[in-house]
Order: sequence, then structure tokens, then C-alpha cells
Amino acid sequence: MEDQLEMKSKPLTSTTQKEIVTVQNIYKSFGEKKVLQGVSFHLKKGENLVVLGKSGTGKSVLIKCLVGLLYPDRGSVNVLGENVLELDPVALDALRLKIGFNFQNSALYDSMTVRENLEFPLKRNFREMTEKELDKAVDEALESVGLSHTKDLMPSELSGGMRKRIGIARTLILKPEIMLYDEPTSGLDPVTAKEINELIVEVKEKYHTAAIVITHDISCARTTGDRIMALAEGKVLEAGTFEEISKTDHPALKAFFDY
Amino acid sequence: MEKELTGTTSSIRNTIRQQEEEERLWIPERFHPFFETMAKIARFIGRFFKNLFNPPFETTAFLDQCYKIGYQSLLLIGITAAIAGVVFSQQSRPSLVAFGAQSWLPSFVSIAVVRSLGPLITALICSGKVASNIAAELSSMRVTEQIDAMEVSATKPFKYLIVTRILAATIMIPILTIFADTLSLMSSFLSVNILDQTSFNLFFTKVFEAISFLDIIGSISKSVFFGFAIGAVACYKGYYASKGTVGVGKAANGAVVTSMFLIFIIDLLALQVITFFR
Repeated sequence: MEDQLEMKSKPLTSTTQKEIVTVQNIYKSFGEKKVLQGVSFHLKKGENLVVLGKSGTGKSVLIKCLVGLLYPDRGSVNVLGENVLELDPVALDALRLKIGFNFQNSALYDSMTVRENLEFPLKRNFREMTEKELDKAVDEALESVGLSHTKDLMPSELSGGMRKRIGIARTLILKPEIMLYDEPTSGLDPVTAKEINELIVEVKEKYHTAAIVITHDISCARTTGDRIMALAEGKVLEAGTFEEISKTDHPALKAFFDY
Repeated sequence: MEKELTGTTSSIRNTIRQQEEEERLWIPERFHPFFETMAKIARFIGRFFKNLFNPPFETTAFLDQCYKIGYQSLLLIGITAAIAGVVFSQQSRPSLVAFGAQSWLPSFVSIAVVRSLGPLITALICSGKVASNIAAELSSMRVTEQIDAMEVSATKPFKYLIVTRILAATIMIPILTIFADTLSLMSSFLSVNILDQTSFNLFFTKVFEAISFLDIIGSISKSVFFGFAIGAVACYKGYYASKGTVGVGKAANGAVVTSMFLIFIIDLLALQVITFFR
């Protein structure tokens, strides 16, 4: 069964490209609630993979397992050549620096200004950096999301779209190899959502990152994904390009395209 | 050979698991959550001490917490301690006058304030003000995934958020206790002076005659434990808050109730230890 699901996964990118994330047969339950039930997938270098599914299908749990925020009950998670489940705290932190995690609600530190939000991971991970270098890095990151003027604002003074952009800038400042976006367009108006989708594509092109985008938004999936993986009830339903997925007969998935 | 080794390892694992199961049977099932929580708290405190001595140190964040816990509590502690000093001396005076022992009032007040009232008032006020503040702040950070965001950017939130707060509470509450003791005795002097025309020198000579070095050390030592308990409980409740806004309220409430309860337990234990050395 798992093999069959794996067979459905058709990578768009060349098969010679290196797999940087390999998840094999992971299971995760919270008490009686089974969230993930044997999910397997891989992500290749430079690829944007969209995980599409309804709310509560375990999409966020899935990416939290990639950075060690949650641990699966069974299965294996390999990221950038490291087995996440066996890493000690120091090695896990080293791996986390290579992954940019964007939270659904941006998770900006509300007691800090935008500048302090961006400086925070730098100051703690690269203590030898001078004020000048910090300023330069902050300016670059803010410029890349088009919000240079917000440096001294507090998160409470930003709009939803701006908060998402600052969240992305905060992860970009560490120059990650993989970006993880948890519902990047949720709670945004269609125009702002489109801008965020374009920004995700821009980030991929400019920083040569691979990304996993968790979403239930079809337009987000179409714009940002090289490959789509559909998830329902903790299992992979289909995987393929947007065009392939859109022709599906699966009722749970068809509802997305009919809507 | 490899298969044999794997078989041996799994049989050892099974034996250990069986032993653990048998050991668990000695404890009734309804107490399991209690012991699991105790184990979680023990791990939390162990993690605090492990992080406390491991560089890099979050000096700026620690000083910031000292300012918030210490300096920002000065006014409230000061007013409360001063009122307590006045009330205690005015309530004690009639009884002492009835026995013709009103000259004992400074000694009486100093023993009560230094040994018990000062540390207790400071700790209880801080429990309400500091513990609720820390727990609410941390739990809202947990609920809005800010702590997770720190975690995934490898910024060691435990060291930045928890170690700094517990350490600041442990250091600042004894200092606040000394401040509260001083203000309490001063206000008591003013109250006595208005009624009995006692001189400052005479009052404080009597005050210091009545208390010993052990009283002062005992008072400060138990304040250190009060501070640690307040900081640790508040941080624990906030850091492990459940999701949702309900969790924020529960964490703040739980931090105040538990830390107040612990303060009285520590006070009782400290009394036994000090009496042993007296």
C-alpha cells in the first residue's frame, strides 16, 4: 500500500537531483486521534512541494516533524542527510539553521520591533557579528520582502500581509536551504495572498531554496508548487504536477478543484 | 552474529519494560498523572541548572528581567510593607501595654518582621504580581507559536526565556525582602514615635538587639527559595501552557495558586531548619 502511494509520487524535477528531504512511512497520533498514518514523500533540491489538504489532515504536524518540533511515533525523517529523530540538541540546532520555518500566524515576537525580530536569530547564532553587519543583514532581508520602511515598527502596527512578509524575512536572514511555509495565505485577502504567492516563487529563484508549502488554497498551490502532494485523513492521496492532480477523480481532492 | 546481538538487545529491552510495568503496578493508576507531572517538573528544574552554568549567558535579558521583577515591584512592595509595619505595631501595642511591656514593642516588631512578615509579604505580593505576569507572558508566547519560532531558529528559548526569569526572581526577591523589612521597621518606628515619642536610636537599638545573625541569614535564605519557587512555577506553567486563550488564563492562575501554596510549604520547612540551628 505504502509502495503504491510512493509510486504515485512523480517528481517534476530531474531524477538526478539530490533528495534533501526524505520522509518514510511516518505515523503520529495525539491520544486516540490518528493524525498521520504512514506518510512518505521526498523533496528535491530547488523544488517547491505543495502539501494540499483540508484543515485537520495533519499537514502542519507533518512539517513540524521535519524540524523536530514534533516527533513521529513511527517512521523515519531524513533532512539534508541527517536523521532528525536521532539528532542530539546541538546537531538539531545546526540543522534547524538550514531550515526556514514560516508559521501560519507569522509568530513574530510581539515585544520586539521588526528590526529586533530579524536580529534575534542572528545575534544568538552568530555572536561575533558586528552592529554594522547586523544592520546590513536586516536591510537586505527587509528589502527582499519589500518592507524596508517597517524596521522600527512593532508587529502590532503591521497588517496581516506585512506580518507574513516579515516572518519570511526573519527566516531568510539565516540563508536557509529549505523553506517551510505553513498556510502562507490563510487569513489574507486575494490580492495580498497573490503577492505572498509571488514572493514564495521569488524567494525560490533568488535564494535557490527548496520549499514545502502547506496550504488548502488552490491558487497558492498552482502558483507556488512544482509538485503537489494531496493529503487526506493522514494519508497521501495523490502526488504529481498541478495539472495531473487537477484531473483526479478522488472525491476528497476533486472538491478542491470544483470549488 | 548481528542477528544474535539484535535478539539479545530486544530481549533485554523486553525485560526492562516488564520490570517497569511491574514497578508501575505498585502505584495506583489514578496517581500516575501526578507522578508524571512531578517527573516533568524535575526534568524542567534539571534543565534550568544545566542551562544556568553553560555559556553563552543571556546577560542583557537577565538584567531586563531583574529590572521588571525587582525595580518595577519596588513601589508595591514598599507601600504594602510600610502598611504592614504600621498595622502590626498598632495592633500589638494594646496587648503589650496591658502587660506593662510596651518597651518590648520594637523587639516584638523586629522579630516578627525579619523572621516572618517581611519575607512572606514580599513573596506573596511577588507571587501575585510577578508569577502571573511571567506565566501569562510565556503562555501567550507558547499559544502564538513564538516559542516554537525561537526553537526552530536555534535560538535556545529555554535559556533566553526561562533561565533569565528564574534567576532574576531568585536574586531579586531576597533584595526586595530586605527593602520590605527596612520599610516595615521604619513605618513601625513612625507609628510608635507618634504615640510614644520613642527616639530613632532607642527604637533601632532595641530592634537590632532582638534579632540575631541567624534571623537575618534565615530570612534572606528562605527568600532565595521563595524567589526560585515563584520563578520556576511561573515559568513551568507558562512554558507548558496548553493551546488556546484558555491556556493563558489557566497558566496565570495556576502559577499564582501553586507558588502561593509552595511559599507556605517552604516557610514551614525553613522554620524547622532554622529552629534546628538556633
